[in-house]
Amino acid sequence: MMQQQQRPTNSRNQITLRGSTKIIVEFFEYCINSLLFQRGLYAPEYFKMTKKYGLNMLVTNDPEVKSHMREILKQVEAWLMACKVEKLILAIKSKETMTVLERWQFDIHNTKDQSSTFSTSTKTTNTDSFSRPLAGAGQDTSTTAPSLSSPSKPKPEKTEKEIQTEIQAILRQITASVSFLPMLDEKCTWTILCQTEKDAEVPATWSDADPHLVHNAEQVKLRSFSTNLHKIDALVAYRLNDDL
Amino acid sequence: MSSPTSDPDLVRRFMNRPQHSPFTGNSNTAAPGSAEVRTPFSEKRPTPSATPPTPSRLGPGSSFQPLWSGSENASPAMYESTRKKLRDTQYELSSTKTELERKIVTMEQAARESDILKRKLMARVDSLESDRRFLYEQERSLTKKVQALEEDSIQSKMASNEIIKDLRDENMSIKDRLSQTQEESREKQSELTQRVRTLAASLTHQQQTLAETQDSSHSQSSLVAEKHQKLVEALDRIMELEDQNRQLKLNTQGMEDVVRVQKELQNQVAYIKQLEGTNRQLTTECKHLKDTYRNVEVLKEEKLSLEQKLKLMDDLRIKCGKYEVQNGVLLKEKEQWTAFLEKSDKTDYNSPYELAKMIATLRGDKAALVEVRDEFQEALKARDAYIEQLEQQLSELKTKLVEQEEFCAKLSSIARRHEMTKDFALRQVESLKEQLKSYDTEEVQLMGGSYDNQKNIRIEQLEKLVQECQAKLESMAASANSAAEESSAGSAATLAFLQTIQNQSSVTFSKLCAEKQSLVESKLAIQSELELLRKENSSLDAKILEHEIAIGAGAFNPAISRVLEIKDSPAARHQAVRQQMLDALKEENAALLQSLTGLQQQQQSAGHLLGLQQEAFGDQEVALQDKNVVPAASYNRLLGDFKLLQEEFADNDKRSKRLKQSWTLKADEFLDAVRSLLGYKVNFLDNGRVELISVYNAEEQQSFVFTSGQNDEGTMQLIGSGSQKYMEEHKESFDHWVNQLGSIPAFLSRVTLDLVEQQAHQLRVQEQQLQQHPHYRPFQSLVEDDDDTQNSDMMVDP
Repeated sequence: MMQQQQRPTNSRNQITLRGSTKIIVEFFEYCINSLLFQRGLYAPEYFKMTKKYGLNMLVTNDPEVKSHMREILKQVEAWLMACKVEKLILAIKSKETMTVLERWQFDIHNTKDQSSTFSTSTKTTNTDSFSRPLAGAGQDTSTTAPSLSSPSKPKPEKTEKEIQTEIQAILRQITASVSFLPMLDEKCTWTILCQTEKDAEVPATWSDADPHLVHNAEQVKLRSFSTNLHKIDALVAYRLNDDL
Repeated sequence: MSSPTSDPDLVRRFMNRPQHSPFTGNSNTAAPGSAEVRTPFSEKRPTPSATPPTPSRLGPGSSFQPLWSGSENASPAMYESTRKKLRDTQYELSSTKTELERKIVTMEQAARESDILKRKLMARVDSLESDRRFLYEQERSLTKKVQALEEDSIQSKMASNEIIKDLRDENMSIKDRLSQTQEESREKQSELTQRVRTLAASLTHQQQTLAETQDSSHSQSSLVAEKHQKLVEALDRIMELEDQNRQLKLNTQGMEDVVRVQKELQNQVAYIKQLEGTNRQLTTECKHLKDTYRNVEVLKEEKLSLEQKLKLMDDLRIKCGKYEVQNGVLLKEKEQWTAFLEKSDKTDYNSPYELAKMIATLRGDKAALVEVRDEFQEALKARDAYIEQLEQQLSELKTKLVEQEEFCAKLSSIARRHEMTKDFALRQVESLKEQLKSYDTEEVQLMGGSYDNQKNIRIEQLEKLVQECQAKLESMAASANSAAEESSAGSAATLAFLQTIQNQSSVTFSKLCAEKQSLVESKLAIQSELELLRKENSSLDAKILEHEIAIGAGAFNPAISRVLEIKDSPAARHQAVRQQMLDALKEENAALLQSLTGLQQQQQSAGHLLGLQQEAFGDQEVALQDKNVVPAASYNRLLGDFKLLQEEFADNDKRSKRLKQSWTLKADEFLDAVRSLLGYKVNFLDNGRVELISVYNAEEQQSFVFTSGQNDEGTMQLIGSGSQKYMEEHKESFDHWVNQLGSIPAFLSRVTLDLVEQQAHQLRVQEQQLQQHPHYRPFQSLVEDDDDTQNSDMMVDP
């Protein structure tokens, strides 16, 4: 009985995971494009306006940037499908000093795939101190529904429109957040970091990197949105001016 | 008669006077104040000296004559006598006259003498006065001189004072200078002494080194001398041998000897050569030793510095030892501490954190216990109050009891009194009875049987009364007894009841107390747990915050996750470019430095050799400079820069292209907007001509072309098929709108309106035709196509 029940749910899971991943990757694409435009990393001529999420979004039309972004997002999608991504980070650095000035961080939580988080959390509770709350939450939910598969939970599924409104809100907030962020006076460059689990498959084009810590950081938590499988928390950390 | 007598007296007096006066005058002439004496002489002198006055004297004599004449007349005897008398008198007069004359002469002589004296005196006085004047003048001049001299002296004093002041100042300044110079000299002295010392030290050092070098050189020279001596000896020997050889030659001995000698000679020559070689070797060795000696000195200095370092290291070692000792002490302390903990508690406190935690828990326990104690104290207080209340009640009861007892005692005393009174009354009664009886008997005996009945009755009544009283008393006593009994029984019952109640309450109280205690304990435990949890919670919250901030700043746990970055990110690209640039610059810098040092060396060598071979090296140097001025690295770097610039240029090109693209897009958008809003497709032709094609034109070739000349005066022409007709069609409206009202836009809109109306008309006609011939498809499709092209634009219209 259990197996018979699980099979369709698994297949459903696969489908929803793909859908959810698609939504998230699309969000990342527009979000990063929007940030590149708003933080002035490229000239406005590099962007063209398109309608998305009921908003006028600016997307780059520079083939180089486009292909670069496509490459990154393809890999992110693969990791998302494997549930290995923890965070996606857009770091904005000064060209002159190479110090990190801003760090847009998107935490990706797998909300439905509790078994995997449970297993990882049990593995890591001894070593990792600050993943405890998350792991605890995972344990709680797993104890309440120990053997049942996740879709049997009574949580109502979100419609695409709801997700879209959430994404719209978060993008609006990002646009608005430009007002309080310090001006980027110097020439800047950017890079995208991906925080994955240890056992994630890494292609040859990717390599381990510096976490791009922001020193003397002020941080603002932004809105979050969630699909049926993932929850995305946004956060921006920016370097305060030294004289302030 | 009296008068002649008086006259001689007077003469006498006159006579006496000059007699006296010469003497006195003579005596007085010596006196300086002879001027006073002179005056009487001058006054009296006229009288005797004046001879003419004699007649005048006769005058008075004549005046006497009358007197005498009178008398002559009288008597001639008397005349005679008077004559005689006159003669006497005359004589007397003449004598006196002579006397007087003599006296006058003497007097005159005296006067003359005195005059001379006077003159002399006057002269003397004059001389004295002149002397005096002279002296006065002299004095005056002298005083003037003195004053002048005094002034001079004051001035000179002032001047001298000033000079003294100046001199003092000078003295002071000189003293200051002296002290300064002394200090300077001292400083210089100290400096010089220091220098002298240092120089002496260096001198001694130099002397030492000199002595050493001298020693070494001595030894070397001695060695050289020895060698030289040996050489000389060898040369002597050679000479000897040569002599011998010559002698031998002269002697012309056998060839063998010659050969032998030659061999010997060769040997000797070889030996000499060897010696020379060794000598050379030794000299070179000597040079080498000198060099090594220098090196040794350098090494000595190094050794000294190393020794100093060693000293420092020793200090450090001592410090290190101290620290080790401290560390040992601390470790021991820690061990003691941990041992103490292990021994006493047998709990595994490995870290101070756990200890602190334990202390915190103990503190919480303590606080809880204190609370419990307080609660207990409160309960105790309440109980004490209750006990006090009970004691109060007890005391009240006791007082009541006492009162009751007193009351009882009173009652009993009253009863006793009553009994006593009863006894007394009974005795009285009895005595009265006896009295009565005795009275009765007395009466009986006395009265003889006259018995008073009334009395008896009365007595009986009284007796009855007494009995009643007794009965009453008894009843009263009984009732009192019963009442006492009743009261005692009641109190006992209440006591028993109270006791039972107390027992019951105490039992329940103890139960409740136990329950309460257990509850309090559990509460305490819970509270302490709660507090611990709260603390843990707060600390965890703090940690969470910290970690959140850290995560926000970008921290991650490398044990479970990794941060990945695509290798070819824009930042990495930028970094790579910069790195490349840096490398190139470094390379260039190194090459340039190398060439610089080369040049410097060349210059130095050139400087050395310039004097000798200036011309020979000049060309070469120039050639070398030309060769090494630009290293390859800088060229490469410049190439890299060039590439970068090219890239930038390409970037800029791209940007401009993109701008152009966006501009054309915008222009298209604009034209589109114009077309859809105003109904004309606008084509900008060359020479500033503008072609307008109406959207509603049936034939696309029909269009207006405007050329604008100067002052906005232009031409308009129609192009395309049927232009003539088209032009004629719109001739009227053109005349009206353009020529009369001067508005091209109005004309254009008129045309548009006309065309739209035409189309509408055509459409209507077609629809009618369609209704008439519904099966005629090709036409319809054609029309529809036409409609499509035109209606699509219509659709776009807002």
